[in-house]
Amino acid sequence: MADWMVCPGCQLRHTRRPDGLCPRCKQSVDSGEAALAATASAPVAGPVREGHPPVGFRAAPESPSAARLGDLAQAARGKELKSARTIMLFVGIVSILANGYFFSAAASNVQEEIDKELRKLGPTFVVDPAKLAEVKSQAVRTTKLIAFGGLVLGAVFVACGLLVQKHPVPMTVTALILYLGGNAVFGMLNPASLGAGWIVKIFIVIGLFKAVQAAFAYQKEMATTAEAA
Amino acid sequence: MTTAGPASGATVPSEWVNCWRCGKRVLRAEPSCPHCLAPRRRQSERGPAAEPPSPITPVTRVLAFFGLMLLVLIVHGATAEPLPEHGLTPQNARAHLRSMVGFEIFDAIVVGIAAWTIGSPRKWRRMSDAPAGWLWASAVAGIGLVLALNLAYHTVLRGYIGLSAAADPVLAVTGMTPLLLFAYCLEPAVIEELFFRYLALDTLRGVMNVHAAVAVSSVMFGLAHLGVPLSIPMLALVGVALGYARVASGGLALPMLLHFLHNFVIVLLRG
Repeated sequence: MADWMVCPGCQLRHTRRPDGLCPRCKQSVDSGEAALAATASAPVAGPVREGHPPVGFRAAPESPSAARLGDLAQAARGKELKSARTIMLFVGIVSILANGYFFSAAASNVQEEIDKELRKLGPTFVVDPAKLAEVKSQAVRTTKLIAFGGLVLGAVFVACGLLVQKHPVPMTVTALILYLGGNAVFGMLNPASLGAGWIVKIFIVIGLFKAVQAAFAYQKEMATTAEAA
Repeated sequence: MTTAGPASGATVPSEWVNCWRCGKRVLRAEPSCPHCLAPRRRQSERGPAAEPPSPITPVTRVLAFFGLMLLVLIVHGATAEPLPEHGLTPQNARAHLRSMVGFEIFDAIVVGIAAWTIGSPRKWRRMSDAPAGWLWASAVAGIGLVLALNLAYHTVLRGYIGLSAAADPVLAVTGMTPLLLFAYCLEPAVIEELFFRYLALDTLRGVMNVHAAVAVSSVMFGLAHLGVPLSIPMLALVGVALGYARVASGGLALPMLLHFLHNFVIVLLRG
């Protein structure tokens, strides 16, 4: 964007010339440097109104107003990341609680399922008690392993939520991948779980997608600020 | 802009023009009018405005295709005929294998569309300066170590659950056929490496450091094996090894070879 200056002699507003002279009155404009600050904004479009920035006003990066605009955008992205953190902590804590319950209640849940199957087969069906105990033991241990995996997944979500401000892109991307993958895995194991709470799931996926995009912009801005510094 | 403005009504020298908006005299060299701040030329004269950057970045495309792949896997899992626990006939086994190959061809098409949509990721310089021969030899030794870890992990897992090591039912019936080799070893080695180590890893490297990108792409790789949920942690570790092979060699040939070898040894052990 061009640097605007006002000639102290004829008041012509113009961009800096290589010879440092006003293009109209040919006077030196070095003394007009002070006027530069007041007109540092690069014009884009729209008329200037008294007391208001012009329509389509875009400030030069070094101006205080530009810094304020950048801060506002960055604050908005920070807010998006805070929402993402809330989502991640929510998903993580719910996952820990739910899988903690499934882990502790694995034996009773498996017994319930076995009883259901046996009722379906009818009273005439003869079951080998030793084989049944073996199958039950395997099912309980498998359920516990899967619930433990869910617990670890929940803990990873909580960790992602806590670290999202420090490493926005890796944490949001990881959270989104784990959320999609976790739902797919549990959906494969129990297809009915895919449909359960699908509205909430859609909101979470949209929230995490938006967080990924906000994280890109946030990280880019941070990098630009660091470079400028 | 015109050379004769409505404000002055007179012809102005060539270095001066009248602003198209306010009509005041403006130096031709100025990028915009100093009085009303209008750009020097109208939008219609400047051509179409530059399109704003799309919010759909390559990374979001990678994530979207990863979601699509998971969906395809779920649909395949839900629609595929389960193998009978006992008495698998050669016809059943061959039908299962053909269905698997059909699904993998569909998977390859999805990855092809992903490659076309995401586009070529940025080319990265290989991370290791080691001679290629030494790198490949150590990578093959490394995958041997990962295989040993894999076997140990599954032995411990089976011991905990109380299962005995069982042979792959399809492999036991059909034996080592070219179709089985294609479905179990070749197709995953090529297509999975293309998606996870080329499209995903190289795209992620653009937005995070190399170690984080390897870790994230490995988690994606592990989660893509929905059919074996208890093996996902180990497969993610295999993904880390393949990711570093990709990063160190700078090409896809080494991770493809390692992936093929890994799957081939597993098939031999389960045969």
